[in-house]
Amino acid sequence: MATSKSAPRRGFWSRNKAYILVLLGFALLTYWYFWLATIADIQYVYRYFLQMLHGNFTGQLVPFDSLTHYQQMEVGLFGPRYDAIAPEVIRAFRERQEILPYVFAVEFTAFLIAFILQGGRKKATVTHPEDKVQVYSLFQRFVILLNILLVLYLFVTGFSITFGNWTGGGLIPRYMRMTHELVGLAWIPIWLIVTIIAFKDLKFFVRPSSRLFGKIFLKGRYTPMKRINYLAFVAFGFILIVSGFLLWYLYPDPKTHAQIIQFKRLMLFMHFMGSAIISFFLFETVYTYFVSVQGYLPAVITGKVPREYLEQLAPDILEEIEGYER
Amino acid sequence: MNAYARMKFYCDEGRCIECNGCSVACDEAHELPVGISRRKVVTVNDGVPGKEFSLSVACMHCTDAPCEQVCPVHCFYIREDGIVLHDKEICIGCGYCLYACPFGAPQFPQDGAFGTKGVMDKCTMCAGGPEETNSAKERELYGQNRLAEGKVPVCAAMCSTKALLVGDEESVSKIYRERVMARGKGVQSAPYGWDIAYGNK
Ligand code: SF4
Ligand code: SF4
Ligand code: SF4
Repeated sequence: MATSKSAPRRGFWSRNKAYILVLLGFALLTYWYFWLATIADIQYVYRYFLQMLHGNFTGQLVPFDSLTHYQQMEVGLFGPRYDAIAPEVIRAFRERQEILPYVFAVEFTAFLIAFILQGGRKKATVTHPEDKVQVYSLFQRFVILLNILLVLYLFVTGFSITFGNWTGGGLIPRYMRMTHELVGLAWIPIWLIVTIIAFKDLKFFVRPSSRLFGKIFLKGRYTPMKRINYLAFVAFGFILIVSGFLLWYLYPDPKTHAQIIQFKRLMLFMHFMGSAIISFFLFETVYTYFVSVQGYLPAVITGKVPREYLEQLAPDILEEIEGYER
Repeated sequence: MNAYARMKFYCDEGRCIECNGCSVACDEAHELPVGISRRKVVTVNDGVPGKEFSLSVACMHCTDAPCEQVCPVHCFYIREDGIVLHDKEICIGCGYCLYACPFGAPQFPQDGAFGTKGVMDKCTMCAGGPEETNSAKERELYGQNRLAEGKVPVCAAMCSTKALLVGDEESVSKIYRERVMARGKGVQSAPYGWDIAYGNK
């Protein structure tokens, strides 16, 4: 049986190339998003963040008293610096409708090339299909499947807003937008539970000794790319949840408009950024778990996998399960 | 040349007495639900002697309206006279127009389950919507279509001090100039919000 213990020691590049490449891609994307694709005033956004650390969320960076009569009129009525964040929302809007399909097409092509390069789907040769091992507990299956369903729903309904030019609006897209808000609320606890149970690196600190541990925390160890997927899920899920919740909770109110509109614009900016980036990792997750390897979905639905499947494709999981059995 | 006059609002902060007559008249005339305020009166420097002033604000019916540019389902349309209207049957209530609007004009009824937003409502300059003019459906969705009846929008008609004016650009600008000159200030700037709403157009 192949285990990580017997694997030869690999060089720095091959051990860390996934992190380096993703960090590089992420840096390029951030540069593109913040400096090239937006005309939001980044200096303003930065100073706004600093101001929020001091508990001031209005976005009015210069003291109100120091403004001229005319400026006070504008700020008092409409909120601060309209041109600082709002133009991003305006300009990037048409870009999103027109450019996003190309971005998605490029991402699909990249995964297709990866698929061809690795020679199609990885399959296990199973000669004893009846010899199965319980990999996922009922609780884990419920949480993982619910997470998949909710994320898919949020993805489809979220992008149904962006691609309103295709849906054409009306009753059904309106219900999709409304349910995006409600399902988003329901996803908050699920995101939290998945974040906890999928924290496989916990095993660096705690030895998985009891069966109960295996029923709560997912088995096995992360490869670098899967760890990145997990971290992206946690980080960008957090951004989406916080910004989405605040957008829903800070309801438009004519009385408080000037005080909260800039904060809401910032939250929308974060929500767009989070959704654009998490989409890539969503595709990557779908590719890694569902496309590149055969048998993930049946495993997570039934909870059981043939022993030979684990021996060939996930020896780390089998090793952990055998640890419980001993 | 455009055969239609360009319609604009102007609120004179030197005259507005924060009576809220415009906002109440608008609510009543269009039978707006609670929580929707197409027009609001905002007081700046509230309680600071000598610095306090109030203004009545609603949709400014912008040139190159930002709301129209961001609406993902393209439900806005702009009339020849510059009035910016939208189709509530297409609107999905996403709120993008609110983020894009410099004046906080779009309003949303909070009547969905768990506080989800309904479709957007805003000042129509009392010009109804895309439904048949003065039909029951137009009235139900957008309120009165006073312009089609040859009447002045109700908020300006009700303003007791004539702080709030509405009409074709040239007439409104003329009154603005006269008022500012009469106060001995000269004309340094356009009425509030005109630079943002209309640029030079
Ligand atoms: S004031 Fe706001 S809602 Fe009205 S036209 Fe301008 S951007 Fe649109
Ligand atoms: S709330 Fe309605 S009008 Fe406003 S941007 Fe969304 S779909 Fe368009
Ligand atoms: S013009 Fe009509 S709809 Fe607009 S604020 Fe005045 S009364 Fe209300």
